[in-house]
Amino acid sequence: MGLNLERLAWWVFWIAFAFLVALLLFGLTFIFLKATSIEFSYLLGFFSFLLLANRLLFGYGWIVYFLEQMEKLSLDQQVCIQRLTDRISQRTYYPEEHLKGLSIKGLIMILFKEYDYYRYTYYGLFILLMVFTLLAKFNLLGEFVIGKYVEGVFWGAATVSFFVWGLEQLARVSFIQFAKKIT
Amino acid sequence: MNRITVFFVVAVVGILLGWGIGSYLTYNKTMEAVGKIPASPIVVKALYDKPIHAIVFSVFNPGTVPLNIKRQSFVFKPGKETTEKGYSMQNIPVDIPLPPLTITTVVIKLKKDTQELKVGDVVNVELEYIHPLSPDRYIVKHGYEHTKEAK
Repeated sequence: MGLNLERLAWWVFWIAFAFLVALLLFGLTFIFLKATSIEFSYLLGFFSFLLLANRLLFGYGWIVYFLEQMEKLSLDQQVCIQRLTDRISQRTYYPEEHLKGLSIKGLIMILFKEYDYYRYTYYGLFILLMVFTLLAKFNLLGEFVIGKYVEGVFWGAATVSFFVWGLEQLARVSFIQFAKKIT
Repeated sequence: MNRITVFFVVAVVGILLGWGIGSYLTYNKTMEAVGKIPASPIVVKALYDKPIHAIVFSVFNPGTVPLNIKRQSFVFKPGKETTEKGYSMQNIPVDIPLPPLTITTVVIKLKKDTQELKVGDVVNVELEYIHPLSPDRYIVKHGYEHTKEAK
């Protein structure tokens, strides 16, 4: 058999993916080049805080997705526990011996607790930026020259913080609803 | 608190956030665009300086675009107290740059053998200026009446 269809599909997928990434990079470069100084400061704040928020966005997003899938597909308890254990051992430095014999609720609680470090770092830096923006805005840092650019960085960071906060609330509420259901 | 409440609260916060970002971008873009419009120079002060026998004008450029005075012309109207029929200027400076947001002082010396200005004399000045965005010439007219003797 000369042609392996599965292999071909795999290669087609990766070529399409590389094309998409190249297009994305091209588009981002274009956006950065065409942006005015105000928009540039917004983009700078957006992307730097997106890097900082990466763990939180995917962390809380995964919890929401997992709880929804578990409810919709009514997955087996052992499968759920296996998935959660895998997730925790991949994403955190939690010893695997401590995870044995824990319930689904307990495992999700461990995930929430592990993301708290990232959450406090993120919100701490965001609040620092907010304080700095307010100081610049009310002209308390001397000259009112960098104020509008600091504000642009702040609005970019606020866009990312909005998604982080929303996903966090959604994950918490989904978890509370799940916990109420099983007790 | 259930999921519906979370969606509602997040939607409200999202609208407020979009409002804030939109206002920020629009405001600053508008300010940048308005800042590029050339302003008209304003004569903020005009007086006759007796010791150097000259008329001193302070011209303010309130915009952010540099202007240039290309030509000045003077029309002299004698008042009741004066006997001189017409003053002539010793030298009229041209090509005076008006940098943005600054006050430029222009000194026009009167001819040495002429009389001093008396109360009631009126000097009408025309400033012809250009700005870099258009080849047109614009004119500002300013009338100066010598009301009291300079110290």
